[in-house]
Amino acid sequence: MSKTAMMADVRRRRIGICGFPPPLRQDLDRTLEELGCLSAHLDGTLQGFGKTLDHYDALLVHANERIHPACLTELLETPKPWLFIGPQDVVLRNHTMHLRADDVLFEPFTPEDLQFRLHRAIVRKASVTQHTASHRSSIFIADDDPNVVILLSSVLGSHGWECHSANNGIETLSQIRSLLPDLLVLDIEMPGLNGFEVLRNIREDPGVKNIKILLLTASCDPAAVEKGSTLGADEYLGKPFNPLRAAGRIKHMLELAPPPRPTSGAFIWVGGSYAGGGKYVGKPESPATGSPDLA
Amino acid sequence: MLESQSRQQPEAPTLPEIPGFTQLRLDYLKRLSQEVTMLDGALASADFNRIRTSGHNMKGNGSPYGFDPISAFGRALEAHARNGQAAEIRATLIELRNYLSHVKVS
Repeated sequence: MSKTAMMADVRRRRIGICGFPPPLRQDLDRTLEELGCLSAHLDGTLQGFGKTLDHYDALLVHANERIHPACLTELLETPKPWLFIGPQDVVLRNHTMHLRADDVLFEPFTPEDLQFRLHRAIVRKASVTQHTASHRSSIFIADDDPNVVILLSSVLGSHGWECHSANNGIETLSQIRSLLPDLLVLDIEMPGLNGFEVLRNIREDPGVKNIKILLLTASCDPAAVEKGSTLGADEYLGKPFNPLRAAGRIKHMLELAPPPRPTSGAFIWVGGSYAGGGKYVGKPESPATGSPDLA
Repeated sequence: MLESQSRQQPEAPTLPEIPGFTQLRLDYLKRLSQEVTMLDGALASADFNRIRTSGHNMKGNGSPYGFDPISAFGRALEAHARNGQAAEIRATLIELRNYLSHVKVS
């Protein structure tokens, strides 16, 4: 399968990350961001943000002692694909986990390793459970006007999309980092953080950087459109808007591949250290064969 | 001027294909009536910022529900609130209340 086809299958997937210590988290966030995924960190109880594992398309679990024993059963029974990742000796020592995981990945590994195994786990699981490769798109509406939220939620919900909302910028940021929506409808004028500040925060956060954003602006304000575009909004919709057109615009955006977003530089996973500049500095062991093929 | 616009009854729904749209519009008008009552209080306490925000929202949500005149009322309220024009705000609220008491949703 071509790299492009694999990219398409993992793009926009919601990935739950569990048990990775902070330095590794950042590398993993960036890797997933490069792959076009959305990612959220679960706590050691696998209950991060009050979401169940079903919310995610796949899980990456680090091989360490951070996962609460009481949660192992839940992890082992989840229908979602999950990868067990860590140093080879630690992974292999944990028989229960590594034998039940959909795949394992040893450190160090490259983004290509992760992409390949993530893709394979997702596709395999989908074929086993007879699910389609696509998932129900979710849309987050950030607007302090409840009348707009009610109308948009109703219209978008009638298209089969899952809708969530918040009426201020701080709650918006907090919620999208756990919900990982496919698209954010973002009003500019909100209490707390305004829409521009929310936009800036999202584009600087690798875990949610790939969320598509439709900015709601006053139709007569080209300066706002310009500023939103500079900050990374994908499209804008002038208020007042026709809700059917808004739904059409959102449908179009969801069908499009996410645009490439500038990153802070090439990187590669080297088992805990980060090497910038695109140069692989892993161990001599081949990253492409460093993990066992469980096929 | 705004009142003359509001006399074009009944209000023609511009978005007939949205499921449950009629009920959405009825609920919207009910909420707006409560908002107008709140704006009376805000005007009494000279809370122009609250009126401006409400007018701004109204400007953005009237037309999407198929009520273009409400967007026009909102635009007027926002502008008057920015300028601290209490008399104009009072007049606009009277027109808006009158509109809400006559508008029909088909």
